Amino acid sequence: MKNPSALLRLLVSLPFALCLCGLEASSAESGGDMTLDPAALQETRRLGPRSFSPYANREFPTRPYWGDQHLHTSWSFDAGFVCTLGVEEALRFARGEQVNSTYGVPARLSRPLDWVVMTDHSDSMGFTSEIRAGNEDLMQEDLLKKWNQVMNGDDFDAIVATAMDAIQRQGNGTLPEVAKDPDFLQSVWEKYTTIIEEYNEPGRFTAFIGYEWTPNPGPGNNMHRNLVYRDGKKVADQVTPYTTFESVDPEDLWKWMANYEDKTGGSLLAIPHNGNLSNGLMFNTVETYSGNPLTREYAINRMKYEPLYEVTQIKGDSESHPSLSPNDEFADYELWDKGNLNLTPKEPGMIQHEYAREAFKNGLMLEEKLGANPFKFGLVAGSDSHTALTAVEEDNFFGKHSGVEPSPGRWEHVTLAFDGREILGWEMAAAGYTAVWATDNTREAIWDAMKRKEVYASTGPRMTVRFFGGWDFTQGDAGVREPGWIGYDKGVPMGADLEAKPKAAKAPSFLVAALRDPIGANLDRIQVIKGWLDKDGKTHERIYDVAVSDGRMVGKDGRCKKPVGNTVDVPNATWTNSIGDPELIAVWEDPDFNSDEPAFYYARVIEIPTPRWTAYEAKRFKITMPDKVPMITQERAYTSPIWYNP
Amino acid sequence: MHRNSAIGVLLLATFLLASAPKSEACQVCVPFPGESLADRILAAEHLVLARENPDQPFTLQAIRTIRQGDPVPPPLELFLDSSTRRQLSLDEDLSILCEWSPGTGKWRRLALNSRSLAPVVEAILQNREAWEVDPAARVDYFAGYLAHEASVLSDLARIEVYRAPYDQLIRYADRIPREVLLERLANPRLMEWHGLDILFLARTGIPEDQELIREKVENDARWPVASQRTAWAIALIEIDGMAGIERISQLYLNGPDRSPEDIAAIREAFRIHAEHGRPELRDPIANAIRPLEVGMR
Repeated sequence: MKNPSALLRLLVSLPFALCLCGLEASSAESGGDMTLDPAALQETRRLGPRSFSPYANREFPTRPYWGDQHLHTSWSFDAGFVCTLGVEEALRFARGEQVNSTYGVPARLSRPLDWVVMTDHSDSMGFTSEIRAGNEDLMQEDLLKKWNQVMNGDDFDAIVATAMDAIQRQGNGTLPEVAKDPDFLQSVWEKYTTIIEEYNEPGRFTAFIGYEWTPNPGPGNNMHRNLVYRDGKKVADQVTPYTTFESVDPEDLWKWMANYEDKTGGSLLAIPHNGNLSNGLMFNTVETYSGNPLTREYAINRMKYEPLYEVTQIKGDSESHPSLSPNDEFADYELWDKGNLNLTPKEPGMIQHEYAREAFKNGLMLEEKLGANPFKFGLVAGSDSHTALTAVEEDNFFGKHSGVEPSPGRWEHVTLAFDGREILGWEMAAAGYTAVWATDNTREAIWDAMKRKEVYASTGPRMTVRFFGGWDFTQGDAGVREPGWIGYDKGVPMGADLEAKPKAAKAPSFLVAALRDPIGANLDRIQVIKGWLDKDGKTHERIYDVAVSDGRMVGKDGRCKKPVGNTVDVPNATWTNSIGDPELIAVWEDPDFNSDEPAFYYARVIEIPTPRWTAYEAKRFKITMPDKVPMITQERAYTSPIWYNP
Repeated sequence: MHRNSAIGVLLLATFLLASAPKSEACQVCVPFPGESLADRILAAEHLVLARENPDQPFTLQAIRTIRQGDPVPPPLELFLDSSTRRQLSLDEDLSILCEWSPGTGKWRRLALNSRSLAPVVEAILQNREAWEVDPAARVDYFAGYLAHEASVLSDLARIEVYRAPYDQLIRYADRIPREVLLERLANPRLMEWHGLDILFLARTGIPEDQELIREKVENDARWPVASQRTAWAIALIEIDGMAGIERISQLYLNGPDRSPEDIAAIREAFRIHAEHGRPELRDPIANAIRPLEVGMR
């Protein structure tokens, strides 16, 4: 052996190989130079369940699985007139394949996702795509035959006019009856679940069966919910999806979900989204949708069926609003707060029933009153894309729908307009994805993690975030390289309740760790956001910077006033990781803890500034946008909270 | 029509289903409002300019009253969204025009008041009485803004001019450059706004434009839905006169059964030409429309 490094490797590896492979044999046939010291073996075994390898015997989730729980395709009524990409293309794209967008633009994710939930609208699901495909039954209707001709033609004015007509017909209830026919929906549903089933590869890529239930009372008040099945096709097919033709009341949806579970033995959860567009309805603290006072039963049912909330997506971020959190300098982030989906303007008092943080606070107040908390949800993100492309990275943003796929003018297109109010293309947020701390990449493991709220939302970057709460984390725990072991050993993960306070404990402590997206930006800071209910029944919130980058100092008030800086080169749509830190970890103990006050804690991880999608757009298309268009963003992740109950 | 923008319009819909407002026009395209900004200004009992209230962020406070009516309105209480707030913070001269009327009993935002809009608001208020007795003067005033770079003004002008009698309206056809007309017509998101563009296109005298109009009329006749059937029919009669009337009659009045909506759209086109178009076409139009009148009985 002439290669000295090869020799060295052999020498080094031999004892390990013997150790790993020959432990049992060595005790029986010990002899000569191959014998291992029994005392040493005993010592190695003494390491316990973790053995020598820190990765052996782990039963807790070891990595976040990334996905999108909110994706539409041409099977959605509102997308199908133009979007030509269906469920198969959506699944292929999500698992990392290259597909051509409706406009023929080649598209691919930077990295595959681990899972996706297909959530085409249940109302008239597949109606437009089946018309386009010339479904024989539908073609019996003269009107639909004409629509088929229009949709397969090249007269785009006619396509648009037809879409408008169809939408109006849907609004005023004059669509052909078949559009609401449960038999038609069931036939489409079975095709839908067949495709999803084909793409579900346990261990590699999880394709969830799902749909969006889409009520817009008001009109225009967003009360939408995504339904996520734990089950496969055989079970999901047994019950036809619920539509708003049957009811727009969420309590009726829960009854339907209960019936599904009773009948099939399956499991479902629902995820509300876009409280920011609900004009005060999403987190109503006084009454139910049907006008009854909130009750304990309502609270229990809501959390049974809706354990999660989609906090960020293309139509805006719903974590917090600066009018509710004036001391939160990061709260003014990608807000859509002009009105509801119909742009009916907000009135004073609505905002406080639309944002997650305020809902968490109000949940504490309601728990005191009702005996159960209706807003004890975890946080997830989704795209709500109607392009079949879950492409929401800033440098790879394909827009809300095919009408705003990449093009030089999309930033100034009117996206929504009514009565002199409008939302323009540049106001779209390129967001977001959900990370799930599951034990495996399967429907069952990911769904179970969703149900226990061990999830967090990201506006796009795939940063890894751990967040544990307990009573005896010490500063030394922040020095370990395995926060998962320590976290689960000594505490509970995101989404859980703190265990009962030990008598000797003064305050809860939290282990929080974040690792930047491997191909993304460094981190600016980790914050813990606390909300609590005081003895007078008033809610409060406070933000603590618990880990900050670049050696900056945190003041006595728990805040770091010094900004991280900015390296964004807007004209070139790039930045450097010369500021911020690639990883942050801290143990933080609540300095203001009062054991009599119920509270929640969640972590918010902020990246350093990076180019917003508009900056990439300006560079690629060589266009100039006015000052009102933001070019820089600070992306972030929101963990599900950990609650303290006195 | 650009495929991109067409598709754009459609999918814009993303919100649709989602939002599918049960009672409003649509969110696929930019709705053409029934009221213009001028209507709202003239109807308002109280008008103020407002900016953010520094003592209560995300709310508005009046900084100047520009019309004080009766009765005294309640204090201005409107939410200021974050996007408009950002615009206000970037330009100290910007404000928001807000109105209150006893009818609604509520304050509402009318427009972002910029340097270019401010003199127009003043003119609207000053000319209130004069325009009541001379509506043509009102149209003439706004026609001057048809090509204005500020969309709040050009949109206002379009709504006002489109209401004018046809023979007055076409006098302003050269106020909007042909390229702008074609660009707008290629944007299906503006479909509800295309009426004026179509009527003006018929006045360019350019053969390609005339061919486009003929093509559109033929195409529209193939489909059950067309958003500007009346305007394209008016345009065809404008460019082809008698031949246009005959072709429309063939397509809609002598052909296969047409929906009441289609017939009403064509009838309206004929009416406009009969009342405000070229005198020599009035008899042929009357003859063409006669079967409809009989049918109506």
